[in-house]
Amino acid sequence: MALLDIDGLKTYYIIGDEEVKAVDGVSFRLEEGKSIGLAGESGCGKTTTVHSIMRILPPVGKIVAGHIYLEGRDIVSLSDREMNEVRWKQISIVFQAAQDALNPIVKVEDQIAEPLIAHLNYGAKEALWKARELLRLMGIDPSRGSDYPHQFSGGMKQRVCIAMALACDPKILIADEPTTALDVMVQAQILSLMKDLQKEYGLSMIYVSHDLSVLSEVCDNIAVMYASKICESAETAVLHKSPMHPYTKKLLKCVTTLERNPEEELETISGAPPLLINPPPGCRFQPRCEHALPICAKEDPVIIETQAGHFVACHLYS
Amino acid sequence: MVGLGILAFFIFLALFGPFLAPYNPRTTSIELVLQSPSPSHPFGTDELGRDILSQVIYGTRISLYIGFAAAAISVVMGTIIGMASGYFGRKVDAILMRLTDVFLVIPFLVLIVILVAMLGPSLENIIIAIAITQWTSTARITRSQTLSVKEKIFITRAKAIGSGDAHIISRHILPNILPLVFANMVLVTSLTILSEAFLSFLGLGDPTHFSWGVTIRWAFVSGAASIGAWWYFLPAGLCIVLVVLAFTFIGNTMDEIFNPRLRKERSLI
Amino acid sequence: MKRVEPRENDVLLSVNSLKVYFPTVTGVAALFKKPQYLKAVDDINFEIKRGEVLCLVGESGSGKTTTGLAILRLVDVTDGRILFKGENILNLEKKQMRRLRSKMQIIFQDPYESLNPRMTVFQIVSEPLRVNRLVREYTHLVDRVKTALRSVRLTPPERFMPKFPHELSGGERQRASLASALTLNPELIVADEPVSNLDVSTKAEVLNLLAKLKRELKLTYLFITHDIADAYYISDRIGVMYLGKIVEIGPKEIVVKDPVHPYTKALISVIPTPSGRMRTERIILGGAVPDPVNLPPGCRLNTRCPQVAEICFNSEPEMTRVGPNHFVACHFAKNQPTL
Repeated sequence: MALLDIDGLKTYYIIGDEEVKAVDGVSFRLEEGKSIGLAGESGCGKTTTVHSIMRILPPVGKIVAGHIYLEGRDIVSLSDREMNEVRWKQISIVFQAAQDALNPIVKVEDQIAEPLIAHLNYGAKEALWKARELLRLMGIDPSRGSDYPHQFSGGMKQRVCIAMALACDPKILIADEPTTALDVMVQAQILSLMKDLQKEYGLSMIYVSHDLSVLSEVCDNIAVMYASKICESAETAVLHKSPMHPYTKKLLKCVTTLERNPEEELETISGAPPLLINPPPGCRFQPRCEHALPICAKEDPVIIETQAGHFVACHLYS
Repeated sequence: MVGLGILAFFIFLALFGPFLAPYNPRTTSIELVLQSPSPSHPFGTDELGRDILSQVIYGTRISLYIGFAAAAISVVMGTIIGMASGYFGRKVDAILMRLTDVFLVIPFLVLIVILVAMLGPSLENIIIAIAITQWTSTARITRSQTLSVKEKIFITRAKAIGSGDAHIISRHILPNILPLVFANMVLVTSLTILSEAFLSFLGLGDPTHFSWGVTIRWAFVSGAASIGAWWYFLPAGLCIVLVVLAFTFIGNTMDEIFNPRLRKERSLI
Repeated sequence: MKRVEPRENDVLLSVNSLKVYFPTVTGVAALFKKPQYLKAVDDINFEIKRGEVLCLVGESGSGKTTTGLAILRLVDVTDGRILFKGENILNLEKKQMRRLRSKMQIIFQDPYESLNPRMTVFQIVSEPLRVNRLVREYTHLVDRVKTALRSVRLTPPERFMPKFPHELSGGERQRASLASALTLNPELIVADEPVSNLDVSTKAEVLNLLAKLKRELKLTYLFITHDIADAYYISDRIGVMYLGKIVEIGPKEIVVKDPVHPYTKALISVIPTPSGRMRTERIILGGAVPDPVNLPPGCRLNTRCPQVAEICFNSEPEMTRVGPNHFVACHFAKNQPTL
């Protein structure tokens, strides 16, 4: 049984009379000790997906359909109080630009200790000890726990945020663009840390990023999202070697890398993603797809498993 | 919305006052001295037999005129000084800010009394005197807004394409601080109206015209309070309160519109 | 992107010993405390030939953006010379400088902040022409704006002209900025992280557009970026900056595939790649970029360099030629093992 099983998740934002279908039928599985990357451009629904998993949607956001099974238990139907037992203790999250959200007037070790005292009823001394151990785990000298956030660099602050997220020993860590605002070298340090956490401590991860290259470094599997749906998901190496969905293929070719031939012009994807308020019927990518068939404008493709572990939602394969 | 409604009412009165007022406020009448409100004189009469309702209606005109004019002048002065200070910085900023400090430090009352005493109590001089005491708040606000707009990248871009300072100030900085200037002007107007009332009450106002402050002064001078002639000072006072309240409501709403941080939390997506 | 070989001796921009220092102690405190400087750009040299694309890459604090601004005299230069077509622009009077500005333009990183939110696209694109009084008649102005919008593929131009920045996407805003810069027919364009804030597919479009315009309008670019993969795609030469200095500069193939400077080697090795692994080991430098205000003596990298030796703490390395058009600032430049 998978550690986390998302089945047909639909999350809409209800603003007045309009529904923004931010996540419209997303399904994927996370096995224990593995990591999955949610890839996609801005507005595709990846952040809403993980916020749905953590049930931290804003008041206008509602999970209107689907299930999120955590070790077999559907957490969508949990009450807020029951969900509090899950948050931070079983699934935890590092937000985008979390390093800027650290409380500037509280010592770093106290911020890490806080969830231990609040959620797990640790005593103050125990909590501090564990906080310092976590700092050590992050590659930060534990004595620096008594410093304040402004005394740390961006990368170190991010590591503090990761330490905070891991304080209650969750099974799953969600990281939402954790390295986007960081320099390349610092990003490398953090990615290396993430890989170690996965390998040495069996941490399962969901990693959200628009950067396919970054996801390829850290994740075992990648799910590519487009316009609130998953269009393709596979093991990382397989996705790169034999992408199937037209969007994935194009995405891989319009990214600059050090491995491609610089003389070759980058591919582009003309047009723009559809508005998610009343998306037109049929495949969401169809208006921009070079291989569109007549059926693509009428029917939304269903996701199918073409090979073991390789899922595509495209009429070209059904 | 309430504020706008109240204000609209008073502006209407100001514009059409003379046609609405039942009597000429200057008409005196010995028999009708200090009459309490009656159907023919809804606000009663003063110690010279003049109709108070008419006085108040005429007074609306003057009070609002002084208030708006003084506010306009002071806001224009303050904006120019604030923008110059914020944009040019260094020496210009230092000089202008010290000047502002001087005006801030002198007590309002002292300053205005001196000015009016020096200039003489005509309407125009009153407007000027009030304007001179009020420009400092606008100057401060526009200066800090200018400083923050100046840091924006589109200003660097404007310089890169060869814009001169005049162009940058008028086409880039001013349009971006205008909303705040308007919001500020609203609040300044309420202060100028109050200032006028204040001045008139102290006897420094222009006695040849009726304004709310003047009416209250006459009420005071003629001992209306001790006689119990509440109808004399209450209406004018109420008008001042209502108008200032109106401006405050409007000002707060404008502030909410233009300052995103005060807006009620709209959910983030 | 197809490479066009620039003509041998046609140097458009030449930067000599450029220094941009920002005082960190200002105001009244300056009377009492010793002056301290943030040496954002500390003695750099490079030149760009006409038709060439030079990319300055580096992490935050490297000084690359300040260099770009300095070249257009949008920040105060502390020392050095900036020669545009042989003429030192730092000596120019304000009026002469204004005339020169039309030849050098800049586009910025943030598509949301670099346009005045209260001006329409028409006003923004036509502004350079109006401000410099280059076009008298209104109809001519409209034509010039339409031409500029077409060249950046914001078509039909009539649809875009009345729009405000908030009505455009990030990619469209960058294109509007570009259109505005192009109206003056510049020869040099400084592009400061122009695609860093854009989505992947939009980024590709804008990069291709920049390449196309370069060919069609015979432009020269100074392209500033933290993304070496972008630099590899669009540049002819790459200069790597660290804490205000250029540590390595040379043809892009060599800098990326065969770097000499330890910092460049580390930087190249840690860039994530789709295939997941580069053949060589990753060199992850520990720690972070040191405080730029109180720099210790010697080589700037001495706190983190895997090959650091005693000499690195005593003296700053000079720029040494290690190959055709390839220079490195490292004490061990000549005996570096290749990647």
